[in-house]
Amino acid sequence: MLLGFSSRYEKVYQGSVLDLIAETVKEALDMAKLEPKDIDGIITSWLPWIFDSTLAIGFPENYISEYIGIRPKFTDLVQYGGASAVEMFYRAYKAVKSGEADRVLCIIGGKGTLMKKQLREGGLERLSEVELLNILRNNPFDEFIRVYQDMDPISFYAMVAARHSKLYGTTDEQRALLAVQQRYNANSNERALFRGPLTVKDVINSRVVSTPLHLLEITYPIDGVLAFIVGKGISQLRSMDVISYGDAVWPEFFAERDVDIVYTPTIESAKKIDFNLNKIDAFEIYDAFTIMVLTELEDLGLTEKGKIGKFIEENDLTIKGNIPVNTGGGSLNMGQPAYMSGIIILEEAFLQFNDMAKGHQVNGADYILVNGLGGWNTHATTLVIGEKR
Amino acid sequence: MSLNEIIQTYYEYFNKEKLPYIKCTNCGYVFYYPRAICPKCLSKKLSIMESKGEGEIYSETKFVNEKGQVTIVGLIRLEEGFMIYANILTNRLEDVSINKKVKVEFKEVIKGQKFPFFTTIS
Ligand SMILES: [Zn+2]
Repeated sequence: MLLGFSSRYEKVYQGSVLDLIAETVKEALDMAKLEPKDIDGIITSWLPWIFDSTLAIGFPENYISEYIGIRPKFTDLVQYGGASAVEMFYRAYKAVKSGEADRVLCIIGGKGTLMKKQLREGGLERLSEVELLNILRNNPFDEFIRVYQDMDPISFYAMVAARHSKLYGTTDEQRALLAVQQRYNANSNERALFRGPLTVKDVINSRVVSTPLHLLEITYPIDGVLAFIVGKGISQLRSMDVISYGDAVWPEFFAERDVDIVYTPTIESAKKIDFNLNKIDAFEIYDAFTIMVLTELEDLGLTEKGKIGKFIEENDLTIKGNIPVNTGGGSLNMGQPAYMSGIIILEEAFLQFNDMAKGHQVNGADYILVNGLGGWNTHATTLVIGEKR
Repeated sequence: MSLNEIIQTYYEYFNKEKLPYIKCTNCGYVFYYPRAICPKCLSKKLSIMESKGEGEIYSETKFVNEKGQVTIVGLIRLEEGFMIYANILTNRLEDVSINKKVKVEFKEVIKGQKFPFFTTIS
C-alpha cells in the first residue's frame, strides 16, 4: 500500500515552501516510479501561519495540486494538528481500499520557522493577542482565554507534567531518562539534528522553560515536509497494511474536560486496537514533550496510569532494548517539522518496516505501532502497521 | 439570552468584580465559558450565577515572560465545580502549587475592561 515516500528536514529551509514540496514530491514519485498524472487523490493538512507564514490559504488541497500538476478525483484535508500525518496515512489507505482513489499523494509540513521570524522581527508582534482574535481563532472562548499570559502550547503540557508528578510522584529524572534513551537512538541516526552524549543530569541542568519542563524535554521547531504515496500496485517497498486502527477526538477546551488532564485521547483510541502489544517490534510515539510520551505509553496500556516513571527505569526503551520507543530518536532529536511531530514518527515507521533505518534499524520490524497526538491532547490516532498474511 | 448578551453580562460582572458562571436549569450542569446553550443537553434554560470566587489550583506552571517577569498560569477548580484557565498573581511563588487554595482578584487588562485572575490565600 505504501508506494513511495520522501522527506526533507532543515533547521531553516532557504527556499519557499512550494520548493520544499516540489522536491519531496518528486522524490516520492521517483521511488514509486510514478508521474503526477498517475496520482488521483490528494490529502494534506494545513496549520495557519506554519505552512508558509500566511494566516490562511483557501482550498489548500487545490493550492498544492495546482502547483505540482495533480488532477485528483479524491481530496481530503486532515486537521488533527500534530497527529495529522498519522491520520492522513489511514485516510489514504481507506480511500484506496474503498476504491475512491487508486494512488493518493499525502503532503504535510511547511516552513514553521517563518512564524518565529515574523514574531521576532516585527509585524505581528505589534498586534496584541486580543487583536489577533479578529484574524485567527482557535476556539469559541478565545476572548476569555487569550487575555492571559502563557506559553501556548508548552504551558498545557507543563501543567500535565506538574499534575502527573503531584498525583503519582513522577520525577524530573524519570522524564529526563526518556529523553536520554531517545538520544541513544538518535546517536545511531545520521539524520538526527541533535546527537552526542546526553545524561539525565544534562537534561535536568538544562534551562527550565515552563515548570517542570526543561529545554531538553521539548522538541525544536524546524522546517520540513513529508510526502508519501499510498495506493494499489507493487513498488520496491514492502507490502504494508493497516493491521489495526483507532482514533479519538477531544475537542473540549482543556479546562472543560471531564477527564483528568493526565489522560490523553490515546486512552480511547487504544481501546479500538485489536492487536497484542507484546508483538509490537517498535513503538513510534508522538514526542513534542517528554511528558507526552510518558502519558501515551500509559494510555496505550503498556503500564498502569501513574506507573510510567518506574516503567522507564525498569525497561530499556532504546533500539537495543526490550521495548524500542522512537527508534530514530524521535522529534526530540530530529526536530519538529512545521510543529507536527507526527511527520517524524510516521516516516520512522516507514523506514523501520522497510529495513531502511540505517544504523538504527530494529531487527525484524514486522509490526510497528504509531501513536499520533495533536493539539492540547485533542486528537489521537493509533495505528498498527504490518503485512497482512 | 443570545450569546452576545451573555458575553456582555460576563463583561459587566467582571467590571463589578464579580465572577459569573452558568447553571443549566434543565440538567444542572455548571460551566464557565459563555454559551447560550447547555453543552450537555442543548437547553436554553440557563441562569447566570455569581461564584464565591474561591477554589484550588488543579495544575500550574511558571515561566519567564518576554519582559523577564516570572509568570504563573494555571487551572483553577472553583468551589461551584467549574474550572478556569488564568494567570495566578502572587509575590510568594513558593505558595503556588497544586491543591493550594486561591481566590479571584480582578485586573484591568484591556482599557476599561477587567478580567478575573487568581491569588493565593495564606
Ligand atoms: Zn443542560
